[in-house]
Amino acid sequence: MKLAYYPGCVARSTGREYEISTLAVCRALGVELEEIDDWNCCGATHVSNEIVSTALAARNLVRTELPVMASCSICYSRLRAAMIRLKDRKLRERVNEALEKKYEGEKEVEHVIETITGALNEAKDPEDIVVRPLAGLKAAPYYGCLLTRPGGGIDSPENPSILENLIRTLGAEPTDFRLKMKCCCGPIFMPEEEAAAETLIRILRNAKESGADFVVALCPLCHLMLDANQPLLEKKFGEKIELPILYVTQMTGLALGLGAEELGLEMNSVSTRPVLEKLAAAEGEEEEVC
Amino acid sequence: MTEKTTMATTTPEGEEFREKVLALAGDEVKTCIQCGTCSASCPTASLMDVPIRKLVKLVLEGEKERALSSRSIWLCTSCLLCTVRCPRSIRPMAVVAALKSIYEEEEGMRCKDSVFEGIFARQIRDYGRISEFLLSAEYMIRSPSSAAQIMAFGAELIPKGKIELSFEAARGERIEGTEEMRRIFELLGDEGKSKKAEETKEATI
Repeated sequence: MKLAYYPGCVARSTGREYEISTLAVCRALGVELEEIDDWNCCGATHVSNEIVSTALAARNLVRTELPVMASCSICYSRLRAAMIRLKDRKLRERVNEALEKKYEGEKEVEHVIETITGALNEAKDPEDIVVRPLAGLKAAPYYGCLLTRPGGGIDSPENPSILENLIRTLGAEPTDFRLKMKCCCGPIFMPEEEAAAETLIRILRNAKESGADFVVALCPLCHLMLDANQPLLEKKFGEKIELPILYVTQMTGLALGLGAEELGLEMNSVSTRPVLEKLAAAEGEEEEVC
Repeated sequence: MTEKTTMATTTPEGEEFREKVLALAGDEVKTCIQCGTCSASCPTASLMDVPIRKLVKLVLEGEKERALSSRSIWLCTSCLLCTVRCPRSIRPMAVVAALKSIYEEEEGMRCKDSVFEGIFARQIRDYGRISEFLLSAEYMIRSPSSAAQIMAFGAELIPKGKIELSFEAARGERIEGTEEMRRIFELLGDEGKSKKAEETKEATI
């Protein structure tokens, strides 16, 4: 299978380990990725003018004939929203006024979790691929907002289960994580830090209370808010959280037998070592039993 | 219930404002029944001076100043839960986006949040991509009170090699299609807005 890859700006900065693990996992799953040539920023949640934001996405979509895969939920949601809006002929004509290569026909956009899930479902025997099941590990499935909203896409925008299902397929156990859909407030973090901090600490506490060994993130902004920001939140609220936040691709990679380095696990802010140690210990036990 | 329920728009300016928001956010906004599902679903509602429900009402009443001066429009995280749940299929988030867009065009209206959005949009327009180093650096200059927070974050990210600490590296991300980017903003965006972005640029560099 071949897909066009839209990295998004964060893949080249604070979300490097997401890109590293995305590329490694796709390679392992036999998914060929071709990076979109000269791609531009999707505008994220900061371009309030909808026509401009649609045109920014359209310029990326016209640069390939392949279905487009994004790993960032914000980029994914912008590209998908544009794809839907551009079915409107009038808007398409207006946007095309500014584009060098015109937007025509239908495009396809998918998130990396769909790529992973699709490849695992297609496999004759997923056990051949999941060579290192994450037995004994508990994962808090954190969806955030934009993967499923405003709806009509991957899964239910109120109570999705695609991530829990993936966690199970990989051999781990999803925890009952009540705040799994709660917005991380990342989009307002830069000017409104206080507002975001209150929500973030609640999400982290709830994930920890659910008994999770780690949280699974699907979006680099959610990840930034829960991982790199975690030491700052610990200081601010005077409590220890120490909860590793793994990207969905890092979690998948581990189960596919990829090494910590191939998945950029040392680039996470909160140490991912406890996860690796628990995994190694569970495997050791299994060997002893055998 | 002490709020007025009249839909009468008193001034021509109010009427123009109402029409502009409807054009941007969709005519269905008029069908709002003020049920408050949007406010009840909003993750930052507790921090807002005007709930989203009331913001929609202010728009329909043409209360331009009260709507634009609300801090609420900058506390929206764009999470879209209001839009998922609205029983009238209104997109309350699009109403907020329209208000932000109008605010940014208005002469003399400026706050730290609109400054941030201005820097973000201008970086896309000029370079095609966002450099987190340039974004943070510019925002820190324009909004010095943010410095402590940005530095603390930087201390977390820089040792991990996630932020390029040079203007050369940051500018190296400039795409080839910057002319096209400029055209997107100029042809499809509001001219006043790009003019204001220009002012921001001059004030920064």
